[in-house]
Amino acid sequence: MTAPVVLRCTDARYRHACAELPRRLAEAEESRGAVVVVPGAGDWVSAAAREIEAGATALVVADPDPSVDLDSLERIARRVPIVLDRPWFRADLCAELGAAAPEELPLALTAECIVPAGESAHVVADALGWLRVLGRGGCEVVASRRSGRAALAQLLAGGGMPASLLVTELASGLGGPSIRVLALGGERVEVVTDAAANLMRVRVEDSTGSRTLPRRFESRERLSLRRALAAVGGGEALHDAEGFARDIHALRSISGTL
Amino acid sequence: MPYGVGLIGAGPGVEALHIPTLARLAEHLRVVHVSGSGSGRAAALGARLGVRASTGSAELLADSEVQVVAICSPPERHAEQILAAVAAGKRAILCEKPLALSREDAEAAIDACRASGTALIIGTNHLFDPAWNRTKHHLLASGGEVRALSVTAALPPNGRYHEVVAEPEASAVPQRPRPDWGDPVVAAGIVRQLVLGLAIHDLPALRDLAPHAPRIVFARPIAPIGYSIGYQAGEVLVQLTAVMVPGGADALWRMSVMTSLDRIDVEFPPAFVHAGSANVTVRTPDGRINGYPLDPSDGYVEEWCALLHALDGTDSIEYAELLDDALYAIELADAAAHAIREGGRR
Repeated sequence: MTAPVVLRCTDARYRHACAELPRRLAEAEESRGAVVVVPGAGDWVSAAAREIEAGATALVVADPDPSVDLDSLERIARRVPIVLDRPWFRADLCAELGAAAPEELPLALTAECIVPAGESAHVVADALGWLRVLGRGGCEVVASRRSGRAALAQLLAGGGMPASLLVTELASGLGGPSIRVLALGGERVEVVTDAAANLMRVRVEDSTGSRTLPRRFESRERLSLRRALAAVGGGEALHDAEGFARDIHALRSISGTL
Repeated sequence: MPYGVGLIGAGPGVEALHIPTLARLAEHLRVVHVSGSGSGRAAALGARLGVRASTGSAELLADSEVQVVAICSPPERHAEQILAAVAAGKRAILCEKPLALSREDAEAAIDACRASGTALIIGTNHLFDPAWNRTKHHLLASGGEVRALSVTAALPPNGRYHEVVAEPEASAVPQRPRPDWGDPVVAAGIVRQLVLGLAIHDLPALRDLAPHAPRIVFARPIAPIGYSIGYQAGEVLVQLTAVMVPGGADALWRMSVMTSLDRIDVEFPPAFVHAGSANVTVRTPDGRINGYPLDPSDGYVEEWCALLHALDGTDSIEYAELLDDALYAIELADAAAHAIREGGRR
């Protein structure tokens, strides 16, 4: 048995996940040689850069804030593997969807987000992530409008695929963001995430019926740590930063309307 | 004694939709006359039903046994045929959507019906679906402020559903050539037709919740046939997406109402079939999904029932609402077409 990789973090969620990887991870005090979990609030790219300077071998960014400097992110992503652990966007489901995607592209995409008042950026960023995965390319914003407590945008997904995005704010004090993304075509894919219901469901329908991808019982924190470990071991190339940057570019094009 | 119904139009929609629907209401309504464009379909349908058949609408409108007229012809004929039916003294008209393609024609048709007291129902079946009243009742009871609306339709070829409610000829559904979406004038014209022929299923219901004049945010066609349209009506934003898929998954036709408190999804069954009402679910902010039971009836049956209620005097026709519904759709169709033409020029 090889020695476990060490983990440095203060976030209880990742410590719990570490306990679920006892043969591969052990907690450490030092960043040097460790997989380090960086809180995604505020200027997390600078915090991540400091951890790299301190010798971190890989980073997991928890709930990365979208208002980050993307040039700096691109620079640090070239130095060590970085996993971006996004609240409503799971890499394992994306990988499964990608592996099973039909040859034909969808004809159109739609996304609907329900967000708590004033908290739309994280949710919309992750909706844009699903649109990128289903549309097989990042989104470009063509037009957008805000009215009252809702926003609407016309998008072009990968290769010019028509897409649109509708964001609705709940009344003040109500929580529970939800994302629903649809890829419309001969095969129809629907991604639903619902924070209040602790739900993340992917359903695929075609002429033979519908199937729901297996529910993931592994916590997203454990998944992120496993991906970081795989990258450290050379088994998985990570493109989280690249995908995140594309989503954030689109998000910023409509941020004036959010 | 059932009312005698004359069907103007003998296309696949009549065969798969109105004739089977009227069979469910045989105590009250019976087909007595079918007229067509001269293709032979009306004669074949008439022979099968054992009723009179003719070409054009004049003979049908002169038929004294025809008390109720169903206008199922191409949309550009609807308004003039309403006027002709009124002039012929018919008591009631069920006109397939849209009422008319222009403001002037819509006003003339409504004025004529109102002046003569002719009952008029437009076949926007989603508006008549029992689920829609349920949805409106929920909105009233919850007090949620409507903030956004979305209608998403992904529709396989109609033939799939024709075959489960009728026995159509193999050649009954004509194949249309693919449009040249690269030509903005062509694209604008087709999207206008799609708004007035397809989106119109839901526009009267959307107008219930977002009654202000629609202002386009974006509009574009979707190949092979479809549209993506965003508009604003008052403070409410509306997202409309429809695409005809070549096959594959069953039809999706979902209207979503996003309020300050919840999201209501109304999922309609595929066109033509009689599978009960739409399915209504409410997603609450704490993540619960509350479902309402399905009603055994559907919008196709209920639109005919609405006409019967008007005929027997238990309900009245709201002519002003019918006109405003028509004008809302025409305004949206024109605005979407304009946006596409202008986008093409740029």
